[in-house]
Amino acid sequence: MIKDSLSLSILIIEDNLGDFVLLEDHLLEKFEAIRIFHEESFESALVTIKSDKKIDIILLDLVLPDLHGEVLAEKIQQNTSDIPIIILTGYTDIDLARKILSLGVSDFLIKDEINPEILYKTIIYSLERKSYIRGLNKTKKTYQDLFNLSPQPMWLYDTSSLFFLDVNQAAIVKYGYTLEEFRSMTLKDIRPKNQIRYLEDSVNEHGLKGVNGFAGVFVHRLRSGKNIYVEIYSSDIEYNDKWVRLVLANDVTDKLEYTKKIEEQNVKLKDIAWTQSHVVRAPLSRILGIINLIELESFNSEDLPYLINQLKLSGNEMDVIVRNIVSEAKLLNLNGLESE
Amino acid sequence: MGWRVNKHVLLIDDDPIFHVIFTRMINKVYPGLSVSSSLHGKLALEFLNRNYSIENQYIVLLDINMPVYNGWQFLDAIKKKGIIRNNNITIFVVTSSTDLDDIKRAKAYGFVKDTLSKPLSVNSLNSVLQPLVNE
Repeated sequence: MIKDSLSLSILIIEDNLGDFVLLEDHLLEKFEAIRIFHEESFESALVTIKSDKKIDIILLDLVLPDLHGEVLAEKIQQNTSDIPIIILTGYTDIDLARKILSLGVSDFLIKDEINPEILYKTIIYSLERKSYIRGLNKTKKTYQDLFNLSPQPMWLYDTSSLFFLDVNQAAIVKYGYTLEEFRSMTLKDIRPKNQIRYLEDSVNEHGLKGVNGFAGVFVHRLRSGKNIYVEIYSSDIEYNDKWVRLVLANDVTDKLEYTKKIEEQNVKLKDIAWTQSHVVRAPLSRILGIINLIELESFNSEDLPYLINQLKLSGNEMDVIVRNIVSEAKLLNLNGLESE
Repeated sequence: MGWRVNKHVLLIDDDPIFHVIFTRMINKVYPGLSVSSSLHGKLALEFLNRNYSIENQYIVLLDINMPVYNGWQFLDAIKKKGIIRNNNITIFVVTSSTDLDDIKRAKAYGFVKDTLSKPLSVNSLNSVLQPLVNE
């Protein structure tokens, strides 16, 4: 027969030595790498549970010398956070066992029916179930962390009263209010006074349409009194059996600032392009025009000295313009560096 | 030469060198055309107010970047005048600008016949003036 090589520490709490030996036999028949701990009373069992023995599963007889029944099951459970507990009971106590099961005990076994197969299955199933529940809790925590530990400020608010219901850590840091303060505030308290009408309109509009996603760029006021620009994304979610709105606020103050700087630079670049197009080409086209004229006139024209002088003047003018463009472009570079 | 109508070229440009260049060129190629020049749009309008005759044919070579009244202001002003509807004023925008926006903007005026880039060579001047002179 193939034995399970799962390495487990099993605590058997059983004051009847005969029953214990039987259980031990069954277990050893199925598992090859288990450690079995035996305790005969609630008190001594508690010591083992609290020790560093890392118990994986508990088999619990419902009648012990110092405690029994529902109270016993409850007390053991209170002292074991997520160790599966399997109740061992006789036919007469089935109703009690069922009741205890509803308290969160993993399973129960009728002593007279226990055989290695049933015991093995019950243990394996209980462990599986526990790890599944552990997984679920972990998922729940992951989602909570997504909210609480998100680097982006987020909050939940009640769409009718506008009160904050929950606020994440990033929002607390960004806005400067504590969680308790936030919970006594409404959305209006993070708006500059002149923006409140705008806020009401926006909330109503989104409330009616149930719009999810990007809501717009708004001005928010921090506790320090500083105003920031935020991009708001929102969506309706169910929270404690109520539909509320989840909001993500992305501070774009710096981004807008950069954009403004880039726009200013663009204006300067356009100026340079305009200069290229108009100012540089003016003397250049004059030079070319004079050359056309010289060609037309013939080289011994009496106006030749005049025209050549005009060529020279236009050439000098162009020289000055090109130098100006170069220094303007340099200025643009310097401005760019300073802002970094 | 024997043209039935009096043909007149009006240069509007703030650069006097161009007045010299254009006037010389036109005199050389079409000695019969009379050429006047104005340093900006306002002076050109005043010239037209004084000298306009329905009997005459006017060819306007208009610069854009000028002080006082630039090319656009001249175009806007003449648009409001009734004389533009007599079809005896042909306007060419002649600019050193290579800016496509300027060219588009000029073409938006229905009565601007074409835009030309400075400097005008004898050939391009010919292609503009020839059809008008030989009418």
